[in-house]
Amino acid sequence: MKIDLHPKEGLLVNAFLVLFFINAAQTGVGVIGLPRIVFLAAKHDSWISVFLGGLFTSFVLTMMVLMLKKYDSADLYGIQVDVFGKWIGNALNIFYMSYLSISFFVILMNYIEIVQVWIFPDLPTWQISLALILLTIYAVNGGIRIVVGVAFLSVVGTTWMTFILIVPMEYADPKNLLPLMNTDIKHILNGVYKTSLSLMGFELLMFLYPYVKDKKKVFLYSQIGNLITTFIFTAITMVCITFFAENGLARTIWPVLSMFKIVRLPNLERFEFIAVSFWMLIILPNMCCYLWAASKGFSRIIKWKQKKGIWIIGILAWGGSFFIKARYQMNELTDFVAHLGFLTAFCYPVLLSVLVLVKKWFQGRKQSSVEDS
Amino acid sequence: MWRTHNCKLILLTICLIMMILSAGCVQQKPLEKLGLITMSGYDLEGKNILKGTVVVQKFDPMTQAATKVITSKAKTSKGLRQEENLQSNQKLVSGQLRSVVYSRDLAKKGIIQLVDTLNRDSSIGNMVYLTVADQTASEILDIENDNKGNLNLGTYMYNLIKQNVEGEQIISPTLHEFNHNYYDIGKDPVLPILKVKGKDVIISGLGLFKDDRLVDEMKHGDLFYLKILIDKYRAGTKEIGFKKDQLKKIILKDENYTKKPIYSKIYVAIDNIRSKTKIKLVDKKNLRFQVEVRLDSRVLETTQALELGKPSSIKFLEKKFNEAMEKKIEKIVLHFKELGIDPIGFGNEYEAHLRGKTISKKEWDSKYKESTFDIVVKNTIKRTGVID
Amino acid sequence: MFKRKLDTKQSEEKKPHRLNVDDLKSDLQSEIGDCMDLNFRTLKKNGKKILVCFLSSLIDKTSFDEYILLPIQQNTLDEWTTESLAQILPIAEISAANQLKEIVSSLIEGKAYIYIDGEPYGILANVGTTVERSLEKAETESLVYGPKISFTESLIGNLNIIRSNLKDPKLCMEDIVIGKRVKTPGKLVYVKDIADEDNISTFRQRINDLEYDYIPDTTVLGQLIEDNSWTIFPQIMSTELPDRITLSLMRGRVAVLMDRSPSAIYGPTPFLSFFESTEDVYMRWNMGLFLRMLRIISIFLSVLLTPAYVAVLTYHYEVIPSALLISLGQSRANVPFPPVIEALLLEFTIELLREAGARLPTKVGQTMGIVGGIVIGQAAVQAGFTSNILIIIIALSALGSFTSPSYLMGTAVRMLRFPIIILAGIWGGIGIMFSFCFIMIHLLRLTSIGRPYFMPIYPFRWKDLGYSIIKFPNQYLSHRPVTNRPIDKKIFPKQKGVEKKDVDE
Repeated sequence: MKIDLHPKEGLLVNAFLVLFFINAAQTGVGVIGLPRIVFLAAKHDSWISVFLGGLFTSFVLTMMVLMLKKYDSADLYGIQVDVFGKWIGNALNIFYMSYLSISFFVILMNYIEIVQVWIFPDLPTWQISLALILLTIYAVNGGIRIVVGVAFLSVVGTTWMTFILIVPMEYADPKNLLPLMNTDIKHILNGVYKTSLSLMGFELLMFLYPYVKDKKKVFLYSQIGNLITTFIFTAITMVCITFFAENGLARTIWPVLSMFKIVRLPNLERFEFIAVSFWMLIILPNMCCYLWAASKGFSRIIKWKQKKGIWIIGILAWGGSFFIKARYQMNELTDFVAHLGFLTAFCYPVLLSVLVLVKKWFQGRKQSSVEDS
Repeated sequence: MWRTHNCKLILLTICLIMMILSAGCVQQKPLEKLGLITMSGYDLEGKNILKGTVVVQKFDPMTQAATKVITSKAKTSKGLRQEENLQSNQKLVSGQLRSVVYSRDLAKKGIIQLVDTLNRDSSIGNMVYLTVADQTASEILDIENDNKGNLNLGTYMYNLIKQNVEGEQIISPTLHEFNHNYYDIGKDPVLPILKVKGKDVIISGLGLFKDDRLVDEMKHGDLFYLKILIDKYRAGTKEIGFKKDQLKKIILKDENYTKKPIYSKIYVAIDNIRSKTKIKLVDKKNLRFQVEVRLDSRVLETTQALELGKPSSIKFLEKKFNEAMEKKIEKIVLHFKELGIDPIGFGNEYEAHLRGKTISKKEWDSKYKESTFDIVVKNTIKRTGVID
Repeated sequence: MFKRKLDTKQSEEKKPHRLNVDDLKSDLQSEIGDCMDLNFRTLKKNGKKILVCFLSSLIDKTSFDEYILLPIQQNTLDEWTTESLAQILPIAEISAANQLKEIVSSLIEGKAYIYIDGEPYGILANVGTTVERSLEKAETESLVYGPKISFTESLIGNLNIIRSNLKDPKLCMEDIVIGKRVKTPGKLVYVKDIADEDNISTFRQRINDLEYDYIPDTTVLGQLIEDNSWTIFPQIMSTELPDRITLSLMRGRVAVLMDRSPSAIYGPTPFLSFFESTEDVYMRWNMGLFLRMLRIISIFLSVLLTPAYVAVLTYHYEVIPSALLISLGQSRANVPFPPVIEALLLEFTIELLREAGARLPTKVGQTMGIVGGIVIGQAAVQAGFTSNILIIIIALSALGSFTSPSYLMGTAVRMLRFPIIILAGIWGGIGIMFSFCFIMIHLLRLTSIGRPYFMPIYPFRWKDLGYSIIKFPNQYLSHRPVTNRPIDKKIFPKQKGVEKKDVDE
């Protein structure tokens, strides 16, 4: 397998679209439940946890970009083979691929659960999962340009929803945030850990990198993208903390949607019905990005056609959707992916980049010593 | 140039639609086939039995206003729904529920069980108004029958409360606000109390809750003070009575103006009030709160001619206002303390300054009993209408 | 071997016709077929036979008489050869020919062939005429403001309009032949140092590669050369307004004109350009902006409104505010069908009205509108067939779809509604959102002449927003749209546009 990937000129995307890619890949089903999950750990200081989580993500992103810059135009699949050799590298690749596929599945199932709880209790899972998977396959079949395009339009098309936050702010009680920094560091860090499911998605940069036109600007735009996400998430968490009473927030499974319940548009009474439907546009790029990155593995590792990979993962995910029946199963799976995500998206890239930096440094020294002698 | 790359997907989509159509889709809820519950009431009937009454909005091409009142008995509110469905020719749904009435007995025993089911049901909105009936809930809902279905009680109640909330007469009693205050340790909910008067329903006062139990009632004369303590005030009117000798200094002694006053007291009405209230924890140890109320207002009516042209007399009037209000507010706050209820949210203020540990409900209740309050009212009379 | 065969075929084609008047006659007759309008006129001059043949339906009789017959009859040359004949014919466009194929195709174009017996070649003289109508107002793309002249069927006339509108020496008109069996002449028009070479060659190549026997009109040509023929979205704009073409040419687009076709096509045309009207350009920028926004919003609502009605009334009754509840419920209470069927039925009726109105003569068409609007609408409500709120919604969305300046796009939008209504009937709001996502991805995947269809939104071109979705004042549009990859990017120096005077300067 070649380590570097040199896509055709026509397939490359502009560097500034990385901003939207990162932002869209991060914002998804996680954020709907984020305030509560973090609140359970860090109480009314959970917004600090979310903010720190964002900063931590931006650190991971920095390491990631440093690592990617050591190569000409490589993705994670190539780097792993380069660092660990053919066998271990490919084993890790397959592991990462399955992580990406499971993430894809979890996003899908979480959204379906939300739809079933909030709008259609009797909507058969297989129908909507089939529809969503086909939609994703249709997008991913168009290639990376379409995937990034979906991400871009999703961000552009849903920014207005951030302004909806103003409505619950009228009912907010800012005193709930006081006293600042009252929770101890241990709980806050626990809260940071809990943000991992929502902030996940930025690791896909490692797969997008070869397709970016101006690679020098990747660092800048990925950081901006992550900062925007962090800012939005922090704002959402803050509004949720002030909007709900503390015991109330702890009991609400999807605080963001519950918050939207009070929004009234002049000719629409209950905004959460619109929001749940509209959330499809938010999770679509999420699913597309994960499916794209996972199916990329097929063409990178075993030299199959990527199309084949897309269909295989799609059909597997659809088959998997028959096995999830109750809320607690969903919870277990989501928790599992959150743990896995923390390891594979946050910790592992840092470790890998350190390895790559050390390796390249040794190689560089060897080369220079060869040149000297 | 015929590319066939997406013909497969188009075919698949068509297949999908066919499959779904043949497999049967989601249960439909066409509007005209539903009985929309717009208002529901709960009474406690003997031991362990709940009596539920609902006003159902139906759509009938024959009649203009088709509402129906259905009563049933069960243990839980969803059980009530089952029973009520047996009495209806259209499927009863609660997605358009606008207001809920709890009987006084029920409210005294606690209503959280019934509120919780409203929270759990995703089809019920968060802006449902919760109210307490002066006596029984069914009595209020039966008004609909007295009016032979012409009143449309669900909408009437919704507008009655909404209008008064917007006119700043009462504190907004939505489900969301009830939840917030209930789940908050340092605050207690308040809900309006409804009363039947003739063929109409009126708001007779505010019920003060301790957690989810009705403890006391506040007559609507004092609602103004509660409102300025809890909320910002933007518009509205308040009349305050003074004894004659209190305002002696500024009574106009014009020859042409010596009509005999009608009342024995002097009443001054202020209007266009804008208020801002700050609650500060002044002394953390001894729990002393300072309540500072700032009011901007204009004088619109006096029952006896007052000398309002002079700045000094305006100042004097302001001072008198401050004193009267301070006295009244202090009385209310002390009354709350005595009952152990905290609709104003002193607990929240205390909690916001509590560093390092969290406080439990019990701890706060005992602390609240010991707290003291300084009340400062600063009223500014901005203008006196179009004449002096 | 194959090659050799090809060679012999070529040499066969290269062979001149038989150099005898009578033989030529029979050759032509057999080549053209049983045409009653193939005429021969034989003159005798100094003992030499001069054959003039022509298709009587295609030539201009007077110019034939005056410029061909008259000079031949009145001249008393000693020697009649092709050269001497060429000297005396007062016709600008003559050429020498002796290939049978060439002569036949020239005859079909309306030329006359003059052959003097025994000469090695004859003369083709253009005395043709085509039926032309005079310049008229545009019919399908009607405008309130701005030039209203429209193309006619004559290629030369159309080129004349473009040339005289756009007096740019760099304006190129490249000859192309459209169709394999019936070879219709056409022109590929572009401004040489503005239009991107890729776009030009895409057009050229796609038209040359066409293996199609007969292409009646540019609209058909557009369908044959567009990128995706499965979608309902048109990818190449067809217009009958010359100023639309010239404006597009100056923005770096490429146009194709075809003989006997009263409309021209041009590309690349992304999605949003179908909502641009020339009026937006001629109007003041703020009015243009307003109209353009109006159009985009109305198209959006036109797609959304009816499905939203269906979704809300079938599944999401919670969303209806209490003020609307009773009126909606009352009007629905009479209707015996579920909302989906109701909406589909009414949409179908509206489509019927439109189609019937379009087929009928103008005067009857107006009556149609009244009959449809009042009688059917009113009666349907009273009979309890539909709710009156749906009638309002359907009428609004029909109006909205007609605001698109491109008739094709308007039709596409109207067709698009039907599947969305059905999906809204199956899955409510989720169904609507699903179809919107699908359309979004679909639009992203489409291309117009190899350029992304969703330009300038994706790939995002900040500079081009002023040309497509919104409209900027002219002084800020100092560049041509980047979408078309123009070679000459500037319209005027940027500095000039934003220069401002100080107070009292």
